[in-house]
Amino acid sequence: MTLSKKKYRYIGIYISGRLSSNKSVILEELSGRYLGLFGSIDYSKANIRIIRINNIPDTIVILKCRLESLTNTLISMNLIDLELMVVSISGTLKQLKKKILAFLDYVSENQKDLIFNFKDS
Amino acid sequence: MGIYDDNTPAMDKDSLVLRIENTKQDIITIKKNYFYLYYQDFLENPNNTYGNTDILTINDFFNPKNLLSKLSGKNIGFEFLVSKLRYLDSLQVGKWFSYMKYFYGLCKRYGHQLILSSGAKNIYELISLRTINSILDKLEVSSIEYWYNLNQWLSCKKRGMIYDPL
Repeated sequence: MTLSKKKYRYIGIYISGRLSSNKSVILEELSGRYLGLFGSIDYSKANIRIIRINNIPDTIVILKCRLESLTNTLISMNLIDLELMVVSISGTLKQLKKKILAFLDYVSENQKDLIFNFKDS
Repeated sequence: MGIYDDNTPAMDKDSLVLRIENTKQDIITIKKNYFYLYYQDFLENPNNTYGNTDILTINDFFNPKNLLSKLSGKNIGFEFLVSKLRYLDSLQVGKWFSYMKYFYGLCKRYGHQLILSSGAKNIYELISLRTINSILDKLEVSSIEYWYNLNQWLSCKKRGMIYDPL
């Protein structure tokens, strides 16, 4: 029997300044939603963690989860009532960092446009 | 759909679809030359649906069979807002998924289009294509088929020339 290597995905999340001082609430809310929707067996298989890396601003959080659970993780993440937005997903931290930096460049150039609430057309 | 910015370059106009609430009164808009669709919040009574409505936004669970069969042939888009799910408990979200599966089947049967929309009112409610595809995956709807059909539906609506004449 061969043991296949477990594959993971890193998820870069942009959070509001308000949320950046209390990042643990993200994992609490996410786990609550995940457990409610997909159950505890699936949740423990997903192995969701917050990854801490250097040189990343406070408004970015990186989550790691099993590849097979990515769909459920994304659904759970988007169904919690917190000010966060998935910026990028990657299999390596190096690629993820690159995408996050590109996103942050865009944010700094378009700061004003990102603040407003969308108007109904 | 639905995001409008005064600074949008003219060349981007074809990639935007505006969503305008249908109030039955004469609608005067200043969104020059944009392609737009009329939407209406569905209020559990098909009689309240105006003839020129393109999209019906569904906010509650109800038995949709009569409505969809009554509107058969009108090629209506039935829109569900993902942002509303943030405020429901997990039990209700589960119910929503099962309801959506049923609704999608009826849409196919009666020739309507299902529309999954972020319903975003701010940037934090925006959802990525990957997330929409994940939701479709849970609904056992092929994402390729869904996007192809949506594109076809939009093209079909465009042929009706509902460009703003102003």
